[in-house]
Amino acid sequence: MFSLIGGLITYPEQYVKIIIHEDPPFIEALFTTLFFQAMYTIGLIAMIHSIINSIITGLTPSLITSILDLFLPVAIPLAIIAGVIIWVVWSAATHLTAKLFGGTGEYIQILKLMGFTWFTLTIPIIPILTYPLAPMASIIGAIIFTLISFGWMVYINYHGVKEIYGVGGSEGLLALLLPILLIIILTATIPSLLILFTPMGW
Amino acid sequence: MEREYLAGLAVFIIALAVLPASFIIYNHQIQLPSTNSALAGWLGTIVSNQNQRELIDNITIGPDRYPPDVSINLSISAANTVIKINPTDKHLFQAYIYKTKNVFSFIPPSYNISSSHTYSEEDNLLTLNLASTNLIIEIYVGTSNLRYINIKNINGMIDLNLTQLINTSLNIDITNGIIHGNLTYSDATETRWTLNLLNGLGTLNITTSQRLNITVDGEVYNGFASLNLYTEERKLTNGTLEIMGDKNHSLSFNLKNGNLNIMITTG
Repeated sequence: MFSLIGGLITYPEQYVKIIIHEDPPFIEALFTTLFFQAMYTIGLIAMIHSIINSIITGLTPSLITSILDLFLPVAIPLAIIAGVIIWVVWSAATHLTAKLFGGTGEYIQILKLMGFTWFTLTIPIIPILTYPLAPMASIIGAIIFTLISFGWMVYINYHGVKEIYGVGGSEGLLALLLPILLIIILTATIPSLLILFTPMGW
Repeated sequence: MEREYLAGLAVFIIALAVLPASFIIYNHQIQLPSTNSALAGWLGTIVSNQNQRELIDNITIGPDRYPPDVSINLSISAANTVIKINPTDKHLFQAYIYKTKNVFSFIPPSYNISSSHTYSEEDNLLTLNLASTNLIIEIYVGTSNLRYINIKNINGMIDLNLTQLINTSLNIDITNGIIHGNLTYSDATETRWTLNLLNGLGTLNITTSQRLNITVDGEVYNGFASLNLYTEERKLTNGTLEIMGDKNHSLSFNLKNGNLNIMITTG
C-alpha cells in the first residue's frame, strides 16, 4: 500500500496503471480513504474550533464555547462519513458518466483508484500543522492547498478514467468533473426554483 | 520500489502528525485582524487564563492625538462588564472596555491614541494609560463587594454601562473648579450612568433597569438656574440633571429605593 501511494507521487501515470491492473485489495483503498479523510478532518476541525473560540471568547459568555466543545467532536465522525460518501458517490457518478461516453470499465476499479488518491489530502494537512506558529498563513494555506489536493486528485483519476474506460482525454475529464459541476449547479438552482415556485403564503 | 515505499510511508507519517498537533491547535487562541481597517489598529485583546496572562503592550497608536494624557485604571471582578467612554468633544475619544470570562478587550473605535497598561493579579487591577485628553478615570473593583470608581478631570461625556456590579461607588472630581460629585449605587442588576460635563455645565443621565423612586429636596437645588428632571409623579426612571449658572452651589438628592445617593457640588 505504501508503495502504491508513493508511486502515485513519483510516477502517477505508471502507478495508476499498476493499481488498475494489479487490482489491490479493496480494504487498502478503503483504509486509505478513511485514514486520510480522518487526519484531514481532525486537523481542520481543531483549526475551526480554535478560530471560532478566538472570535467568540471576547464577545460572549462561555456557554457557546461549551456548546462548541460538544458539537465539534461529533462533527469529526460526521465529516469522515461524509468523506466516504463523497468517495463512493463520486466514483459512481464518474463510472456512469464514463459509461455514457461509451466506456467499458468496472465500478470497483475506479472506486479503488479514487480511494488511493485520497492520500492527496496530506497536502492541506501540512499548513494545518503550522497553525500554532502562523495561524493566518495556515488558514489561507489550508484553503489553497485543499484546492491543490483536489486538482491533484483529479489529475491522477483523469489518467485512471482513461485507462479503465478507454475513453478520450476530454471525455475522461468530463466524466470526473461533470458530476461535480452538476451537483454545484443543482445546489445553486434548486433553492432558487423552490422559492420561485413556492405558492405565496407558504 | 524502495523510493516509492518511502514516499508512501512519509505521506502517512505527515498525515499522522496531525493527531498530536490537533491537541495544540484545538485550544490555541489566535489574534484575528479586524475587517474594519479603522478599527484594526485599535483592536487589542488581552487573553488570560489560569496559566497565562497576555497583555498587549501598545494598543495602537495614531499620529494625531488630542488632547493628551488620559489614563484609565480599571479593575473588574464581575463578568460581562462594559465600560464605554464617549466624550462629546470630537477631539476626544471613544473607548470600550469589555470583560468577559478571563478576557479583556479594549476597542476605541474612532481615534488613534497610544496606551499602555499594567495588570495586577493580586488586586485584579487593570490600568490603562491613554494618551488623550486631560481625563483620568480610575476604576477599582476589588475582590470584595465594594467597587470603587473615581473619575477626575472630565471634559466631555462619560457613559458608563456597568452590568452585574453591585455596591458601586462613583466619585466625580473635576479639578478645574467646576464640579465635584459623588454617586453611589448598590444592588443593581443593570445600571447605566451617563455623565456629561462641559465647562460649568453638567448633565447627569441616570438610567436603570429598575424603577427608582426619587425624592428631590427643593432646598438642595435651590440656586441653580435650571434643573430638569424627567419625572413621573416624582418617580424617576430616566433623569437628566442640568447644572447651569453660578458655580458656587451644591446639589444633593436622595433616591429612596435602590440606595442611590448623589451629591454634586460645584465651585
